[in-house]
Amino acid sequence: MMILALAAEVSALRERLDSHERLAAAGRPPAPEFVESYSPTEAVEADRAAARRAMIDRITRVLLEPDCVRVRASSESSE
Amino acid sequence: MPVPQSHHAMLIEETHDERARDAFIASLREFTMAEVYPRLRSLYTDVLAPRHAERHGGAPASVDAVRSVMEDSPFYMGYSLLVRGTQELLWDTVGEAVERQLPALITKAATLGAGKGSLTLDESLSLPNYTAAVDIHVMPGGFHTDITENDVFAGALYDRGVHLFAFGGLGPLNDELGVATAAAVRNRFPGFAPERVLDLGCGAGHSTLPLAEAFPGAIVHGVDLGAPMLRYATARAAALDHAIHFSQQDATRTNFPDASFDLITSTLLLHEMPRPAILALFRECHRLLRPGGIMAHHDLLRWPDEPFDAFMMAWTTRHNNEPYERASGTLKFPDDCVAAGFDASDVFVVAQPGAYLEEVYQVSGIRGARKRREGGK
Repeated sequence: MMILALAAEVSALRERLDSHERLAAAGRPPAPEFVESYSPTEAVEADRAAARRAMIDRITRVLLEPDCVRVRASSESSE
Repeated sequence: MPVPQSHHAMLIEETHDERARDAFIASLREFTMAEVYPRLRSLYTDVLAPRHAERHGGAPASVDAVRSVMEDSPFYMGYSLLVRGTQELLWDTVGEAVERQLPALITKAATLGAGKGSLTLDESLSLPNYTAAVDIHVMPGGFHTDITENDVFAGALYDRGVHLFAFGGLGPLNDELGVATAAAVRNRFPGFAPERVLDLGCGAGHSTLPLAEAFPGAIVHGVDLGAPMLRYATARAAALDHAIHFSQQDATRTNFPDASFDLITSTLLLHEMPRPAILALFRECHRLLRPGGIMAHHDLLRWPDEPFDAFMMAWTTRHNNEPYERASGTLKFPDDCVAAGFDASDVFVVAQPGAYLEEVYQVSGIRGARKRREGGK
């Protein structure tokens, strides 16, 4: 739970940084009011969804790599 | 998230960072159900069940045997931590945003009023123990707890929270199950035109508004135990310009006179009730229906027999505060409807596999019965 909450914070921080960068690229100051009113396009939303997925893949890799599932299962039999 | 939530006047406003946290939670939910959940089956089928067979001469033959195999698996533990942790994080995250703006939401609800509908609360209503005893699906305070005067917290929390839970799969207005219920009734009974409709356990009204849309001209009522849900539902219906009459009542013993309704529905209600309460609900439906009237309940259709499937179906019972879920899946159709007064030949079942959790809720659909007219159908 704590790790998931921390991951949500990191993800939110990444998206805030992304908003800053996109505002800067558009020549607008990355001030809080501009960040709050920034409305991502569908393409930006898709990029962010892909970034979230990549982050979740990294966080859960130890659980999900195909070999890990079986290695963990086989390690149980030797215990 | 694949489907953004439609804005309406009662939906919470979120900051940039709150929206970002929401998006992460929805992504994590979707990932867990789409990527992690299916691997449990392959781990069991390819590794754990064969190993059990080697040691014990056969695959696990009971739910308890499956449990002993699965609960020792680090992968299963990891899955459980992900699902439970995401569930808690979801309510915490949305709850923080709701609390921040709760006074404004209460003011909005007062300003919107009931629109073309109405709201009748009953402070004397005693909550059934089965509801009071547990915060269903780990939602803090459940559907019924008032945390302040004229509270709408539970409704605001559920409206946003269930959208993230389903990673948008319930549609922009969280109403696709209600839409499906209405469509199933219309398809099954062509020409059926109810004048009076009742939605039981209506919650925030997600399944109630589609009934008003599907049956124009009908007078639509919704009942629920939870005052904060009903206050929210009333304001939400007004914001979306629907005339719904909400009242705080126990669906198993309402104050409506006999033969008050042509159509009575529920959506995701039965699985929140123990078996005796469901049977009382069916009896109440029979009492409230006019001859020729229809009850239609959208929920689990059955409970799996195969031990692994049954074990996995019961995950939410073990770990997500869904103590009664098995009761709805193991109802006896048509017998339980017959016991409530319906005729066995008037009972119907419409499979409606869940669109957003097909793998998990492949056994959902609409079940119900039509009340016989005197002297025939």
